Amino acid sequence: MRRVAAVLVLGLIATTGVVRSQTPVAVDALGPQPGARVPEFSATDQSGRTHTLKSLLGPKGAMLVFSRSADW
Amino acid sequence: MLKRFADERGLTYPLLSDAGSAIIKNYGILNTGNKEGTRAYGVPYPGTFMLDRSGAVVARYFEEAYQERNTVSSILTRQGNGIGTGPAQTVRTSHVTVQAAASDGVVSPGSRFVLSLEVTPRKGMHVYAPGKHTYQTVTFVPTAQPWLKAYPLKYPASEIYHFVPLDERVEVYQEPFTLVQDLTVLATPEVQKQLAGQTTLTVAGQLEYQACDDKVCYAPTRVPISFTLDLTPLLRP
Repeated sequence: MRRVAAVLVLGLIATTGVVRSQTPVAVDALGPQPGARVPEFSATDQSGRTHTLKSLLGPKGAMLVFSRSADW
Repeated sequence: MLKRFADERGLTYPLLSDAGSAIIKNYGILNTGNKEGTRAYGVPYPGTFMLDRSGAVVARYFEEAYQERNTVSSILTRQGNGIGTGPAQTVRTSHVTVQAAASDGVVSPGSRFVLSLEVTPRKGMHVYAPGKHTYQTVTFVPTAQPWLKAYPLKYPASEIYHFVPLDERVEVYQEPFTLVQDLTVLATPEVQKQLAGQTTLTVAGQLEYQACDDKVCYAPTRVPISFTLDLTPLLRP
């Protein structure tokens, strides 16, 4: 298996109520497209360490996973 | 909370907290189906970017429903890194050899995985690729299940076969080629209720093709393919 840095970005939100979208959304058209560079970012991980896009990119790149919050 | 989540699951890669969903918004992937002020507001459409060393997108896999995820093995399969960790089988007919494999041996509601079908036509034979002709195009037809969503089959590039006697040029595969079938185990409340207590899922379908050589066109053929995958419930924190 190719060695890549896998990174999860979690949206952490502390409010109430869950609403589910019912309208189909063309998700493939959203966000950076193939060939484009993704925007820089800086965020803190589970151990309190700060990472940036640049610091996470290895010789083979990175796998950047966006997921919902870990608390629900 | 991220520390506990990571520790419980033995995750060693960085889990980043996106306070106020700033990165998600900057990337343009905020799930806009959730109203501001609700608990679900701020989540992204779930997805994965495969980046090269410069940070450019090599491939991306996004889902609309927050429960649905591309499995890691399915992403690697689509990237051409092996055929995954799931069960595999080889079927030989008089025209082709089919090596079928599931990207994953274990799935959960919401798992988007792939079946890859590597088809090797026998020497001198070809099967028909999508194109402008009336031969039966090779295809895979998944067996419909209330818990299964099937996406359009993905075909690789084909080549043109020149059939001299009729001066006919048609799109075919003569060399080994791989068809990729994306499938999602649905995560709707109805499906989760239906699958409750079940520990396996059988994913089946038929590869259909017509094979010809330079003299004979053989009758259209169907090859049944079937895999039993382990089913695990969704992990809850």
